[in-house]
Amino acid sequence: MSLRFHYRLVRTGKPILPLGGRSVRPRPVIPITLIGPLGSSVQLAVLDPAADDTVFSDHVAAAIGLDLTQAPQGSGAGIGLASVFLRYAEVSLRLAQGQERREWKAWVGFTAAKMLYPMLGFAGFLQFFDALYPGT
Amino acid sequence: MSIQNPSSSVPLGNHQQPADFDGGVFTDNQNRFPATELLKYAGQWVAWSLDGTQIVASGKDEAALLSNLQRVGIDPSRVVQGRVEPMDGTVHL
Repeated sequence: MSLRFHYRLVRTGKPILPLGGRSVRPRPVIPITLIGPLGSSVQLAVLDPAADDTVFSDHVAAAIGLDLTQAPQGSGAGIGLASVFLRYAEVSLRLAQGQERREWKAWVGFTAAKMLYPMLGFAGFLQFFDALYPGT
Repeated sequence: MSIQNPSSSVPLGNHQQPADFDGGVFTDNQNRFPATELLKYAGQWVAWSLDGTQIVASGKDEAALLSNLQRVGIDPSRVVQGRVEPMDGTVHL
């Protein structure tokens, strides 16, 4: 069975030339629940097949009770190639749509860097799923 | 988009999640949220009701949002948190 989510439709306020003048951008943003030792948090995160890891902000780690002081560390880079510091922890993640539920444990990264959205990358998310992105 | 997990190694579970939460319904309702109202929150972090029909708190960043949730007595685990994109045409790369 599949979990189906419509794209998040983001209004741009002006015509988008590469999309033929439409003024709405579809984003593959879905609500996902992180479950830690002291609580849970539902975050809007972008499905990004080009992202190596699944990454949330340090604020989320604190909210669900993760202590990252001794966490394994790493670094990442995106557009602009600026390096960001990551700390990793194992959490439970959950998706829910209709009657379908999926829950799994995964190692995810946490960062103090500002992100447009938390990212659902290969490690932690897409390694467990087949994802289809239909055109709209 | 659709997401399938073909692996039996991914366990299923139902505990801890608010029983009434449906991510598909949330997204559909969020997409119907009035644009003029959403514009008031452009560039801010907001907390959506679990059904995606209302914004119940906001802040200039995640820390401010969590602080505001606490101030008004809303359980942060009972909302959906995210950023409202500014309508400035910025392209995501």
